[in-house]
Amino acid sequence: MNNQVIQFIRRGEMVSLRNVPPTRTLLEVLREDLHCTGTKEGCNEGDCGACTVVLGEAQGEHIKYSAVNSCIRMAHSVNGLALWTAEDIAAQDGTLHPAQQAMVAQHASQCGFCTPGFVMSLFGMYQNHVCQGQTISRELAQEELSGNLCRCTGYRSILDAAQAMAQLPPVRVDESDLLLKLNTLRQSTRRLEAHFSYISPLTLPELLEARADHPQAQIVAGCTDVGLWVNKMHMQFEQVLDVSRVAELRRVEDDPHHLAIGAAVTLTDAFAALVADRPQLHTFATRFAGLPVRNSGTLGGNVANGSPIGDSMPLLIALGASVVLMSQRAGSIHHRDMPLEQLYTGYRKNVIAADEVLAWIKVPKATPTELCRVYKISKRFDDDISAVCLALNLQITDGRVMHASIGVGGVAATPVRASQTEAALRGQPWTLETVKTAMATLRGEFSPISDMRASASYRVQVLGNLLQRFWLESQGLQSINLESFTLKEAAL
Amino acid sequence: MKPVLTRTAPASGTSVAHESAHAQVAGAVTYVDDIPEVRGTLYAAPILSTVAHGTLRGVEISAALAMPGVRDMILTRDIPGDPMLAAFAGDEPIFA
Repeated sequence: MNNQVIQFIRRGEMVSLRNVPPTRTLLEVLREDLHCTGTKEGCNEGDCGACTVVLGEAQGEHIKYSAVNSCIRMAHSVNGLALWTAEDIAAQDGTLHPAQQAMVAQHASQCGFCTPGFVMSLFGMYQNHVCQGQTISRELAQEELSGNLCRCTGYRSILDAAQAMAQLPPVRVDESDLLLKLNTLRQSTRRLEAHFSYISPLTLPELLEARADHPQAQIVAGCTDVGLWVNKMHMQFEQVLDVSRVAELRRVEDDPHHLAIGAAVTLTDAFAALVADRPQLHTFATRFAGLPVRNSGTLGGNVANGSPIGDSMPLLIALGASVVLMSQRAGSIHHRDMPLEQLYTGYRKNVIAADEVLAWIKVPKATPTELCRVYKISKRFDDDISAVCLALNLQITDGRVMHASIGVGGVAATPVRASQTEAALRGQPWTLETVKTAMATLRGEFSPISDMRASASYRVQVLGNLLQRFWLESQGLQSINLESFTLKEAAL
Repeated sequence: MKPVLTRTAPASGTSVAHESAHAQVAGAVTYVDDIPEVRGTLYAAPILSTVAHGTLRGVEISAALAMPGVRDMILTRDIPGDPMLAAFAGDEPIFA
């Protein structure tokens, strides 16, 4: 039944695969079908980065390069793209790529198991920064290696390698040749057929029709959570509906009053748009998982998935975001809007109907008088899941709170709005006394659970503390910000 | 690769590249999981104590051996040489 073909470009050649089940991962295909074991399986859940590969996609006259986790990426999702692994970037005569040579020269490998993944994150940095003439700062290296863990060498030498790549003799991908090949691939792109087990529509009407026809299909975008259901819970899906190639949903539309972020926009691109409007969100954006997850996963996926510890929703709730659900019914297209928090009805349950898809997230833009901050408490700085996440957006005029919007994660079965705390603040003078009252309200508003990330009492305590931090920041205290923390090595 | 030692290369104060680094960065190093599985490969699973601190009075393996597909159990008595690990202290038994 499944004669669907997967085609991608690797080492300058087209690779064609048939009979690949819809939930077979890219890593399984690489290691087990193509016998290319240079890409490693570490955690198999997108945390450790040992499986990192780089995908290339034609964008106009350029190639967009993205380091992603191959372990939680479905193989079908690379159809029509270019792929590089650590086995593919050395020259034909064996001369190492600068991303590899720098790792050797800086003594940045020991047991070597995480090394191919680091090399590929470095290759992504090389293509996206070094080839553009940009200098790789220590901070940038830290951010872009956030999705790779090393447990024996230590990171200093790897960060040195990231910064040393640019000094080595340059190596360039032949982009014009690759673009030709990618365009040829696009011409031969398969048609959508009803019996396909992996449906990847290219337009919104196609998507809505496919959803109406296949309401039982598992929807995926970047697959950074569904990949775990497959790998860790051994779930199998007979049919998968991939929204990530729908052209209309890959756009961020910049309206005067809001950003409309399509459900197929990656977390990397969605956060870039949010940070452009509110620069103070930069640190939070870089702490969302690690770069390979952000490059694959989508903001729409994070929202639709509705995990209570998903990091984007507390922020989006505080910003007053709404979602647009779309469907095709009786031949015509329907849509409905609602505030984001109204999407959720229980633990990973939502109001999206079987024939509907989440299409857009609309985020009101920053106003000159707003005071907006988002705080994430996790055990690790980056590449980690929140114990508690608190996002606040207050409008304070003449010393009085005119508007308060607060989103919270990690304290209930869904991401939630802190309505009681908002009410405790609204209309009140912005004083320590008001804040202390609101802290008590916030601590009493939810009944979080105890789990491996934090105890219930810790969550309650820290929630109030974060509101106190917000107060202190509003009073000009800067030394309590992560933003004001300078890396010791960067300061040298 | 043999290290080349000459009088002009001091033993300390000079960085020497990791001998496997070139292969590691190219994804060319073979780890156990990278070796194709030979047909008939047996799997081993360690059986761990459910008691953190206790005295092992014996191991009864007949029920385990009777399970379908189980070929054998490997115990201390099957180790031909020194049953202790930790080279200099020799204080870690391989099996209880």
